[in-house]
Amino acid sequence: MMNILLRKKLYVSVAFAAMLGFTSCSDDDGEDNTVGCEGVATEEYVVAATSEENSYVLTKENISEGELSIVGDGLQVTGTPSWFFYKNLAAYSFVYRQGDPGTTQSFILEDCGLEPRNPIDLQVSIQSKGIVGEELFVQYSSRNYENPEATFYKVNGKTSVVTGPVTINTKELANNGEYAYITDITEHNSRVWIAYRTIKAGEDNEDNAFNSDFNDHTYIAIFNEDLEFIQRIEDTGRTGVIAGQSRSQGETGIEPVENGDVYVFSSALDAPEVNSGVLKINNGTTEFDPNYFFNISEASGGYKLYRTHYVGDNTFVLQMFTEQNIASARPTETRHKFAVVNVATKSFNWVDDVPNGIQEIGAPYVDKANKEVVFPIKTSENPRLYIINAANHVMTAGTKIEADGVTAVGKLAKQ
Amino acid sequence: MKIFYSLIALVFLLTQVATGQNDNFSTVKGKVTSQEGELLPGVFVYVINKTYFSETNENGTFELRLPAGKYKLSATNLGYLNQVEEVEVLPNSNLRVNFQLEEDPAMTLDDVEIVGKSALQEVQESSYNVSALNAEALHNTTLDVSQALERVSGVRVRRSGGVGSNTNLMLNGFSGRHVKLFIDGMPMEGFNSAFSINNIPINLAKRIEVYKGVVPINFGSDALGGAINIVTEDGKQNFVDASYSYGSFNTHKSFLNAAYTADSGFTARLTAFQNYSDNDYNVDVRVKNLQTQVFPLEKTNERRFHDMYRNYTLMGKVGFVNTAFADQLLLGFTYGDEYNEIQHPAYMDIAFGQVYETSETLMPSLTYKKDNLFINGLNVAVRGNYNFGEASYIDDAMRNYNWAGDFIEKSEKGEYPPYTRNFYRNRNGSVNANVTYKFKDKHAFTLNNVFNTFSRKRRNEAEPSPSDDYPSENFKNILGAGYKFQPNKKWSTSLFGKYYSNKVNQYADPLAVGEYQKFSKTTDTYGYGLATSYFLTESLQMKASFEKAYRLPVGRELFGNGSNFELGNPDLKPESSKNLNIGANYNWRLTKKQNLNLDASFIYRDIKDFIRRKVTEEGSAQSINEASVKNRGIDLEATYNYAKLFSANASFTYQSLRNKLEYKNGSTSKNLSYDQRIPNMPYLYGNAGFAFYFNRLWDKKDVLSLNYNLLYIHEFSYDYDSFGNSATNRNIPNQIAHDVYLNYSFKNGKYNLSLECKNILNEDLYDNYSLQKPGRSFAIKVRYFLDKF
Repeated sequence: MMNILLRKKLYVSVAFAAMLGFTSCSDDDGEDNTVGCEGVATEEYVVAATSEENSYVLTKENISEGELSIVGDGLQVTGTPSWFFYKNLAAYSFVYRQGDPGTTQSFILEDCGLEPRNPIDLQVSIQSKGIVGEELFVQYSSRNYENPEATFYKVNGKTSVVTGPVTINTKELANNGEYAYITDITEHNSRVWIAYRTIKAGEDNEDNAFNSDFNDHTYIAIFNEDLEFIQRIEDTGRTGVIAGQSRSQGETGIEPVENGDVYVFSSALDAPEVNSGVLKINNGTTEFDPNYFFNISEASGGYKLYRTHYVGDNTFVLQMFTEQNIASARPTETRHKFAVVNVATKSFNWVDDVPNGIQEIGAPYVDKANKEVVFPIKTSENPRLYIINAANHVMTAGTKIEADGVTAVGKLAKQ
Repeated sequence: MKIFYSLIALVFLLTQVATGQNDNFSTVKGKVTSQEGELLPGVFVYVINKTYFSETNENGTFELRLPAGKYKLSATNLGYLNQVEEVEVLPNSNLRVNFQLEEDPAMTLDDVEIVGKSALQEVQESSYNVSALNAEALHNTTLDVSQALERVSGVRVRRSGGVGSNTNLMLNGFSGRHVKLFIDGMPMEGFNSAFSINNIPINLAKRIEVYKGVVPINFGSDALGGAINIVTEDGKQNFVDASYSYGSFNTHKSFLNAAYTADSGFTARLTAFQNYSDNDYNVDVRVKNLQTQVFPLEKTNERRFHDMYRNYTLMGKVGFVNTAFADQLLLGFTYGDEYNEIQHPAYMDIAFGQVYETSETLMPSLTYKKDNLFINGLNVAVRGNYNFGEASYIDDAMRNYNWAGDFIEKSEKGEYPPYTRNFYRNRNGSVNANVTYKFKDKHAFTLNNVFNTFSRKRRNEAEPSPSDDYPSENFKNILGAGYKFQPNKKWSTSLFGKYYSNKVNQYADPLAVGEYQKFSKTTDTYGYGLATSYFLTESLQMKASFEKAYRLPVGRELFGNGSNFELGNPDLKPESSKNLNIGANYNWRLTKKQNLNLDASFIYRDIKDFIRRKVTEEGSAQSINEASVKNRGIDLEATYNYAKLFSANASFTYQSLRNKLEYKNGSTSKNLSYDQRIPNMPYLYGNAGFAFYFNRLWDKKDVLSLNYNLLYIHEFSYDYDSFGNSATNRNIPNQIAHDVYLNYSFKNGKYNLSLECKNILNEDLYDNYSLQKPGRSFAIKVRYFLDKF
């Protein structure tokens, strides 16, 4: 029913567009009704730029050069939400502010540029998220032992229909006396793979809810798509927890590659004596390969990784903590270094030509086709997009953005 | 006039002394009252064609000693018709003669100001840039204090909804913590919402003083942008003021204010008021599908269903007035209780169905005031209060609502999880001590000290935090010294200095990473100012005032609020501003019956180290000293009166509030908002109104009045104007509201009946982005007012 309606709408739109085309062709009075719709390519980069208080979404076909500006341009979005790109279909803006909830808005690329879709109501502050099939899973874990729950919602990327909540008991999931705190969600072999760390969640009467006796453990749990627990995968003593964490938000770490192997990245967060490194789960198995360990701390000369971005062919672009031997959720510990690694050959190369004086780094766009990762970076100058070429591990400056900051960059295609 | 009578009296007295006293005299005693029964002091009572005379004392009584005989006794007082009584005095006897004077209609039609300056005028004519609002003129309306304030130039009150909704006061471009509120000179900082300007009825106020930018030291506050003082003490000794109103959206408001003062000086005062409203007005919103949680793109008109508000307040005072030991010695208490259903969060896109907050306050207070203490010219006032406050915010329903009021049950607590059960406990106290010494009529020295202590504990049952056990504390002391020089009635100058001291204690986690620590920070600074005024002619007054003013950072800005999203910055400096006002007031008596008053002021504000919330890419915010803002603006006010038949007034404000930060910290690229108008701030607004009075309709003491008021706020943008595609940018549209009310007062204002209609054209009104205010509403109010008994 929905489909038929959609299709009907499409026909009407096509007919209408054709009519407009006709009139603008036959009408030679110079007034072009479609002028606002020109210049929108089938694929456009989407840049979420910010003023002090609000966001302006800008689009550009090519980001290797030129300029964008929020002055006189951009679709205004209230506040400074964080952005997530559902494939190349939609850009979601998530409001994190707990206690002051708002709707979640998503945008798609249409003939005339970005168009808002119907907003949705997500009753959760999102800490980690991941795409599973056609759905976006979002999740919040409690840091309070009195309420040991992780809450999941699923958002259909096409229809935006929300299902949930599904709750998981974090004490049961941890199974070590502490409480599970979820930091990454990934689909692999039609299963939902979830990375977690375990925390005391205040049960030790200490101030820091993230205290743990298990920071030298690596934990993954496998669930079916209905979030029913299947099994746990655990490693001890080689590296730490999977947590590309900044404050409460975690992302990346469970990374399947083309042949079905899964590489697992650990920052070794909050554990100075533990190495940051990469473990491997071979295709078809559900245990860590005891013979594989890529010691990132050692390869980098004492630095720890933050988040990972897969560009294909076993090659990952890593964002690294700036200071030696530090990996922390604290926002004051900066993450201003970049490296390119090959997990098969265990090669490690620092990225060259990274700009000096980095102040902020936004959420990147991973361009697998070109084996590039695009980071919005703000230095003492206005923000700019920087492109890391994984092949030669060089960073090149691209489009300048006249704005206060850039939260994220992504790419959308007309559907 | 008084001097003239005194001279005559003196001449008479001398004649009396010269002629000598006669032994065969009798006593004639009596009292003089007005027709309303008011005892009239200072009435000249004399014997026609003789040299015997007397004057009534403050109790309205007089005494004459006369030889036996027939006399014509006359009582005369300005503003009243002379009254003559024929009396026969028998030898060695006592005679009582009472006069009841009738008002002189020729005089009452005129402005009363010739009799003497009212307190209101005295405030207006001070050297400060101050607007005084005569609240008594609004006592027959259903306005609260915040609504009344909107009629003052330079002031905007932004409301998020109906009765009891959040208000944000703006004064010449300053808002929030920059504008401090006072009630009878006591800071309202830290008062619970159970007793605040959005629920205090206008009937509690006699007048409201708005000090723009330059604040006299007796308020002793770090009021960067100005101060608003609600004056309730009206010096009336015995009165009853009771009213009740009922209006649209099931709104009930009642008010009682009564005072009794005995001859001994003992006084007891009681104030009680209540507000209730369902606030179920219609708004344009999107109703989401509860099954899919998807919103439609179109808005529909829906009725608010969870916005009930009620509050009760009880205030009492007992003590003594006008005794030998004190002009005022009053022990008081205030009790307030508030319940507020919350319909939606910061924006009106989603609807709550069960979220609510409560607030309760209990505040004892003590006031002592004595003029001419020990020596002539030494005036002392000490006031103190202590507030025990509790508040809560609860979101723990296992339901999910939409704007149609429909809901679905769900398995987890909290409409927006993680659920919230926040409880607050506030303890705060203030002591304001003021000593003024006046000598030789020209000089006055003032020393003022205000000490303020604030402590707040917060506990969220849903997410216990280590900071729950520790209060956030704030101790603030502001010492001020001032000198006022007034060589003559034309020229007056005040100089003052203030020393600010602030200590903040907080157990906090400024970076929100679970690492709590005890923080403590003390900030000291000093400011100074000057205010001067000069009457060029009797009716033209020029004014200029300047202050280097400060606002000290609060605990939340220094150490965060304990959440992941509001981070602290312990290095914050105080904000400062150079505030300059230049103004003129022209009081033009067009004819004997017509008066036009024009007031214009130019304002200049240069704000440095402005504390602003910087939002990070993850959505958290931190306060930083960064912005630099300048404001140039004009405030205009005009009032016109035609006797007691017609009056009109208008106020207008324009301000050019600009961001003057050329480069942000650590940035070599020019600030994109440099020199642009500060967003989300009304900058062009005004109001205009008129009133017709129809006197002596039924009875000669009845007045029918028809009032009209127009409020206009020019459209303003939500973010800096130049950003974004203007076709899709959000803004806050023009607001035009027409209010009318009709009032009938019987028996000289003893009984009043009024009908009012607000927003008569049912316009869509917004003060804030997306937050729609009520449409057309009606109310009826009955009021009983007994001035003296």
